[in-house]
Amino acid sequence: MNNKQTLQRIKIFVSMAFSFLFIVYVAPQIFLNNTTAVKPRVLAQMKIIPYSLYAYIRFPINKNQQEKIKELANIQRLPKNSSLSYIPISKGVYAAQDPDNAAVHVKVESGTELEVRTITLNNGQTLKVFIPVK
Amino acid sequence: MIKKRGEISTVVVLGTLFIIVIAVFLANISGQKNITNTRATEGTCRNNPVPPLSGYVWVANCSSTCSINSDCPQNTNDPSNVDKRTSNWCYQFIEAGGPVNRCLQLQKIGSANPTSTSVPNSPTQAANIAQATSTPVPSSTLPPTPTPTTRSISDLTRGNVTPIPTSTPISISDRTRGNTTPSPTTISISDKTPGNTAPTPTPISISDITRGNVINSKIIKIDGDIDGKACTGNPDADYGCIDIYGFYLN
Repeated sequence: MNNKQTLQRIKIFVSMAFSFLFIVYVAPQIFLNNTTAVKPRVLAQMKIIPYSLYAYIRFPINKNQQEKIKELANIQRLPKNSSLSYIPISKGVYAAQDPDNAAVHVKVESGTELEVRTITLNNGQTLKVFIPVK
Repeated sequence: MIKKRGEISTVVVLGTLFIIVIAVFLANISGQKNITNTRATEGTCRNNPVPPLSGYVWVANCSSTCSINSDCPQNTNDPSNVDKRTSNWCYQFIEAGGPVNRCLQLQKIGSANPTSTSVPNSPTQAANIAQATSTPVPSSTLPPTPTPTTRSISDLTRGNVTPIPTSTPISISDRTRGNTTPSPTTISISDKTPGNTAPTPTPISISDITRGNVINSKIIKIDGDIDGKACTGNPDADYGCIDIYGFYLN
């Protein structure tokens, strides 16, 4: 009986330790600045799996198309807001600021070229950004 | 016996899940507090978001927003100390809801004259440069671009002074605006004594956070319309953003 109790306590302790370590080390990798928002990098990594599958099925031979679909999976999308009035920035690129949350929507039209840059910042962080080609 | 084991396992699993939920909840609450505190000290509307020279203060107007420098009122009350043309600045603060442009006005603390001989006479107009930079939408969110710093002509005759790149004098407000590279310190008469130059404050601009090396680059053509998110200058939140402001062009 004592052994069972001890075993149970050990399990509970292990569970608590696991939870603590999860919060300290894993949560910061997933959540943005200790908020409930998931980091865009994590979202992109989650999206890349179904996008890759789709790319292989849709374009089994065309590697360029596969790469393009995978790159497009990394773009942060915003929900469409029809009330915004977009201002043209360059050919095929428009932008508008959402007054509710101050987020800047960028609409890129079909046929526009984007430069995909993978950057390693000075703090060691790796980032992928899209720059409209003028 | 098997039934008991099952019950114990259930209790342990449920206990673990319960602890995880509580821990995440507490961590998020403490995290929110941290964020509020950090932003309060680093990004929210406040005076002197960029340190001016001694004796001056950038006074922020936190009750309204602006788009370009000319939206902000000039300081016409103290023409002997502050040049009105460069006393107004539409500056971007990073607040909880995102970047917000608010007015700053340069003011002199007290009534003492500035110690530097080249301050604040005949400043160059740095206002509206933000509008001309790559900040197309929806407002001028980038501070003015760097301006070469100059010294007064008398500095040329003093020892250990490097040549002056241009002859355009600059006002105090130009030297303290964001995104400027570290500028040479203004030399006063006391600089005849070696080692008597005052250190120039080096403002850290948002572009310093986003500097790095381009590992690889490729161009893709979009097949359908995309509604993406513009970069904000915060690398944690900018993965996969569309950089229309040029945060990551350096």
